[in-house]
Amino acid sequence: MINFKNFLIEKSNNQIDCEEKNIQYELFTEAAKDISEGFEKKGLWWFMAFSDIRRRYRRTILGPFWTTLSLSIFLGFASVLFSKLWKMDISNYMPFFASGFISWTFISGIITDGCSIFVMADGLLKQISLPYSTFAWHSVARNLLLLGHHSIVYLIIMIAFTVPVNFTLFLVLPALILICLTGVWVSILLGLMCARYRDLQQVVASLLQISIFVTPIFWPVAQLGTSKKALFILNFNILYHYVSIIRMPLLGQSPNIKSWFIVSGVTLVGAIGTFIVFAYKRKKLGFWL
Amino acid sequence: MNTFIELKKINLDIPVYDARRSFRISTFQYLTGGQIMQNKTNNKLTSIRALDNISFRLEKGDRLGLIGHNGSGKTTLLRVLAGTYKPLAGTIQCKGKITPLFNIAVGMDLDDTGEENIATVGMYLGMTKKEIEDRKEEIIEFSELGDFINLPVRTYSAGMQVRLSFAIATALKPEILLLDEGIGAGDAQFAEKAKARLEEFYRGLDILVIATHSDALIRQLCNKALLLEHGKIKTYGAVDAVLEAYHAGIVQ
Repeated sequence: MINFKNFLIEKSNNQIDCEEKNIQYELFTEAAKDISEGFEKKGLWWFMAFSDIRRRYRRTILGPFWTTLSLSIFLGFASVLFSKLWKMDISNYMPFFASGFISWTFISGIITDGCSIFVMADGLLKQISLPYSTFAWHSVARNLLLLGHHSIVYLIIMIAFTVPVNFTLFLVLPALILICLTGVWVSILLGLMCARYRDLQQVVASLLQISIFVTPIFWPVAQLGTSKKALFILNFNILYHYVSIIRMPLLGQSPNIKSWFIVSGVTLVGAIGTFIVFAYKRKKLGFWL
Repeated sequence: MNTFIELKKINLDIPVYDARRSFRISTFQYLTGGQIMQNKTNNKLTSIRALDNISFRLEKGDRLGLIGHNGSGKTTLLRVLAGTYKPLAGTIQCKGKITPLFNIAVGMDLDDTGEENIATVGMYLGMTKKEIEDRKEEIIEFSELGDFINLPVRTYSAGMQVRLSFAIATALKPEILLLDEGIGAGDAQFAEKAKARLEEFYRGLDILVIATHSDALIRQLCNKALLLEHGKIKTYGAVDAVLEAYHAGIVQ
């Protein structure tokens, strides 16, 4: 049985007060050092992310266009089908669906990859010493590069369907920064949990599978109607807000201010929470791998 | 810089999560491994006390050889020094950059060319981009791989791969070096050439810690030795004394 309470904070047995305080202080400074040193190794983790992408395209005919092509085909066929289902004009639906799907792929990619960052780094960690957060940065960087590939498809769609381009497009930048910061703490938290309990990765995969349907990606928000239940489903889904802050600027609209607040809040609270968990559990990670 | 490593009373308990609690031996001596015990914080878990009360201090110029039976804690101690295992009791203080060199081909990508791998492996071993650029020519020349350096490492023989990784690893200039067994060098002709380079490599170090079963290697490289037995220090001091104790312990 998984005992989450034990996992989250393991209270040490009653010890002399100052001794315990010193140990805790050290835990937090070491965790902070890990995160800052991990970020400083940006040369290494960008290099690792680029190498991952390069490895995918070796000895392929299409190279980077492989992802672009498969995404375009999927978006094309799905848009034709769903625009008929929701009785929307394809020139309205396709940009909505494409921007939503690409944003979703980015976010869910970070979450899925985050689960395995430490488990996959097992071999490497036994040979060299690296700050643990390096792998979190690496995972986010890799997904950012993949987003870059997919954006090319969206660029074409933007031009083809003359999506309005105005200053709101610049809002994509702060949105990306917030998502990347969230991505780092999510990767560290999930990475730690999945290294200890190896079936959590399956649970996360299942939850994401459900979420793609609960979040308005395939279906436009308007389809849900205006009932209280509908608004509840929408607004309590944190992922909806994360998708919203990238999707709406890409459609030439400004995201709801509520979404900005929720995303910023989750980024901050999650970062602090994960930092505390990381401080307490960091020393054990070597034994879990 | 005054490089040093100091360990004080290091205990390392490795929790075992999947063990079933049927222990065959409880009374007679077992010949390998650390000490199996019940975990202190969680009674359901089993732990292995891999290191028990380890203390020593190394100054600049020290070369320590770790020796002991299988499972005595040599690699574990190296991993503690490298930072992979973080002990929950005791203190480690060190000044100077620690370079673990347990695998000289770490991160080698078989589909990349030899030249690209110099950058990859170099980065993983801790070289900066500038250092890699500066030493690339010298590494390529030393490895004697000729035009193969532009072909994927996949096409190399095992010995050629060792030449490449050896050339890269010995281009490092570590302060504190951790080795698990010595660095191998390839065919006879290369081994001769490699000897000089390896000697210079070792000379440039501030501190060396090497775990090995080879007496000859310890006598060649080290000025101090540590004999481990089931995670405890049995003998620590000059190489000859420790090696004598090690062999005395074997011949029953």
